[in-house]
Amino acid sequence: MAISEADLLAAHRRLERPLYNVLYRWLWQAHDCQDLIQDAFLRVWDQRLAVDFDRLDALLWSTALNLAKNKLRWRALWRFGEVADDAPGDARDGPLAQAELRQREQALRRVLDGFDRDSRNLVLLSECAGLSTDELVAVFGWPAGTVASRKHRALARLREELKALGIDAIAGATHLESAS
Amino acid sequence: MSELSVWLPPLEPPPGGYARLTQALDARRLRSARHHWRARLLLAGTSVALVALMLAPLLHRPDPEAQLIAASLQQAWAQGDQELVVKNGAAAEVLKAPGLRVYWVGVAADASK
Repeated sequence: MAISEADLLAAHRRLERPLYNVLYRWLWQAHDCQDLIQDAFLRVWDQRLAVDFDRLDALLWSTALNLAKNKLRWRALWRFGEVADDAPGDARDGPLAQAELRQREQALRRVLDGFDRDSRNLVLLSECAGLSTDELVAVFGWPAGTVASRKHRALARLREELKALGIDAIAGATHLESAS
Repeated sequence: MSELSVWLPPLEPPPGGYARLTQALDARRLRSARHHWRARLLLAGTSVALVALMLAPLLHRPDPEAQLIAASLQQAWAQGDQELVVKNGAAAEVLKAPGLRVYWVGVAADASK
């Protein structure tokens, strides 16, 4: 029991990118995501004596997802605090690539906004963070069968709705003109 | 590779997250050390104050001058409206009003004179 600072920093190296990719698809704000990731790690650090190393990643995921939920509630309450969404991507990609990425993100947002919280988290954690079913079980605390069936349903719905927007995510082919 | 990542490339988090976390952890460690010192100092101070409070009645030595003054005041109070007589001390009338007499009371340098 208890984790060391080295454990936490190693977890940060390992999880920062996947956490960012998931949280961004909830908050759509790069700075908010960065703050939230930092906050999640510090919260886990505060309870380090009670944290089992084997549960560290799952705890970081669930803490970050809960913080994102609270952040969205806060935003809903204080709408004047809202700022425009950040454009994702690297400035070195060039304006065309960035615009395309932004369009894709907007399409994904349109679809994800219709999902319930659990389905959205399942899609994001498996697709944007690459978590395995075992890892999803650890994060959600559901039986493996439940995780697998819910994930299957959520992904099928995602595919269907993206297809309805003219996007075939599996083949990587996009027809964003019709989507936008 | 996941289905979605073929179509939507993974995003890169803004730089500096790791450095920010290490700084925050350092700051917490420093704050925690300071907090421990403060708590220890507070505990020590409280202990000393408690001991002093408990020993105060034992350490208290009645001042002979104060005792003389107190005796003079008691005498003055007992006499009521009559003239004040102070033994082994000195008194000067400061204010006299119906129902009120104010004296300055002290101890004479040499009470026998």
